[in-house]
Amino acid sequence: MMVGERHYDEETLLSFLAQDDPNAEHLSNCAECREKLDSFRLIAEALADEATWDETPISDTPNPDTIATLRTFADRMATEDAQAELYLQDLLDGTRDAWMSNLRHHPEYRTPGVVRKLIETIPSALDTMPRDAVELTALATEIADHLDPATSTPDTVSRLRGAAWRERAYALFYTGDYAAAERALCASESHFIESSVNEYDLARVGVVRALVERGLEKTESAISAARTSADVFAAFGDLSRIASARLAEAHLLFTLGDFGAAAAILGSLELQLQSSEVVDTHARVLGTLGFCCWKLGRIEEALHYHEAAAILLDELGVRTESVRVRWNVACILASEGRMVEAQSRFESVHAEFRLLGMTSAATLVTLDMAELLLANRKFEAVEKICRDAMRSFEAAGIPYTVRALTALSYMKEAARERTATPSLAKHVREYLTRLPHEANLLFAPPPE
Amino acid sequence: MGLKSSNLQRSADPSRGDKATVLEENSSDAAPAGRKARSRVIVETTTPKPASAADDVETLYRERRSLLLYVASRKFRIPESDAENLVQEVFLSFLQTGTKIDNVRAWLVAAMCNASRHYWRARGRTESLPEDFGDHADTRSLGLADQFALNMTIRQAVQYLPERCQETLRLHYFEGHSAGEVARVLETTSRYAEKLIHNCLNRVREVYKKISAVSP
Repeated sequence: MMVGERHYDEETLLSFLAQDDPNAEHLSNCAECREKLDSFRLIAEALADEATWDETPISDTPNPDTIATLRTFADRMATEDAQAELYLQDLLDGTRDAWMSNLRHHPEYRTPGVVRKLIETIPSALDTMPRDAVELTALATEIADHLDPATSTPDTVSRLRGAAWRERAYALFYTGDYAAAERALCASESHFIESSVNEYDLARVGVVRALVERGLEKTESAISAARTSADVFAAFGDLSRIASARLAEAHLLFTLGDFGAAAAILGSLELQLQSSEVVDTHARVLGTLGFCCWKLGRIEEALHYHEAAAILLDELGVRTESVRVRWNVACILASEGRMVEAQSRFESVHAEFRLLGMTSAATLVTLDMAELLLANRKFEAVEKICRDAMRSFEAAGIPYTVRALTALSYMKEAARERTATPSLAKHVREYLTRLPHEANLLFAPPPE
Repeated sequence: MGLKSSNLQRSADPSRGDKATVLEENSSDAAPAGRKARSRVIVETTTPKPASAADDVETLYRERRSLLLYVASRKFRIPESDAENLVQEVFLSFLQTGTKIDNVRAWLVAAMCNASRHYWRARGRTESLPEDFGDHADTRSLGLADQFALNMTIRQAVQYLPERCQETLRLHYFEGHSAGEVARVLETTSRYAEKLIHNCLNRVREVYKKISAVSP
């Protein structure tokens, strides 16, 4: 019966309980009735659980011994960590070649706190100096492997060893030493397996394993590792890490050319992330989903996801990244032959990069524009682009300015002589993309 | 600060002001109102000064112990004395994660399941395992913590119902008897038994709502 022609009464809702999918029109339109029915359903399920009828009392009094143990352990960690901060300054004195020697001369540095502090420093070292990061992990594993398990709680040392070896695996992967990374993964797993609460840590190892095995072309095994990890993270309610594992799986599917399966995974992940607070991860997933849709020829969706990613990145204040995503949008439009839209997007992105002082990126955008212009034989416009880009490089005075000017000058001359082609613009752009990372790279004209 | 502190501090989102707020989020553990009230007092009195890592972990333990103990002793049928040790293991592990934990309650519940499975695996050769013992993380467990908390609260709510109501619900929902069979046991008509089942379910929902409202 409907109450006041608005909602079902409780008796009617309860009668729906026995039906898996009650065919009631109002129910599909009324969130309130649906919610109420769901709550009845959940309660009925709980009532079917044996534990609900188990009358053995569960102690409600916190155990003072447990509290004492936890407090002592937390205090001890805090003390070790504070001490480790001081040790670390001396341990990491000098270049990385000296660090292991510093450790050998100071056995007092061999503490759990130093291992934890070293692990903390690794992510930033990977960003700035990956070889340093590898050496930091060597220190962490060296210390962890020689800690005495008898001096701490049962699983502390095995957990530290597992964590140190996991970081080492990732640093080795990052620097391209996949075989050594795989050995480090095995070491990490063997240590974590010794501890009684290890599923979460092993899942974190699993994500690194997926990355490493991708490098070793063990794609099936890598996909399996990524999936298992994602399932465990789901159990632990860790959406950020579910996303990392699913992204790893999607990238593996890319290598198999299975963009459809990747799109399904990313689409489902994107839905989960919509109501989450992990905005940066959400933006990353949207961007990857956009790429995937582009590969599948779903252009409007690709553009939509990229735009959505750019908006989130703007919200986060990561303007440089949002402009890069919008650059992708322009490239997609260009690849689809939507030249007018692409040109306008490239111009807007170029202006943004200039405003942000990103000379190199701004120049690369103009070369994308040049490629479009040359397809339409607009040589004068390309000459002007080259002149402007050369002026920007001269003004910026960056270390590879001279080499960049050589390439741009070559293209300007080709445009002046009406011999420049879209592939030349592409060639120069690829050269300028490599220059910041390979400052001594010489420019060579493309083969005829 | 160390790994543990990074864990707990990261939970203490500056925008929320203090640790107390954080520990209350997502909380619907079905501990009795009295104990909850005690926990709240502790939380509120520690608000003015920054809590140490030891204070943080003690507060968290007090908040979550009942739920974790319920998981171990009811879901995995681990003796309570051993379950308390597992709770300690889980908290020690939590302190050492060295990473940001998105959802502390879900993490602790999943870790408790992990510790419980490990407990039975270690005894697997000498003791028979519970029927629903699983070897791996429960993959439908995004809401596992919620499910256990709900079950725990329902268990408590049922105890507030009149005996006849408890019996009706047990016969119908746990033992799977139809309304007609319930009517025979209760020596009444099928129509009345059906009404009784509905009324009792409605009542347990009302009590559940009241308990949930007072739980932080």
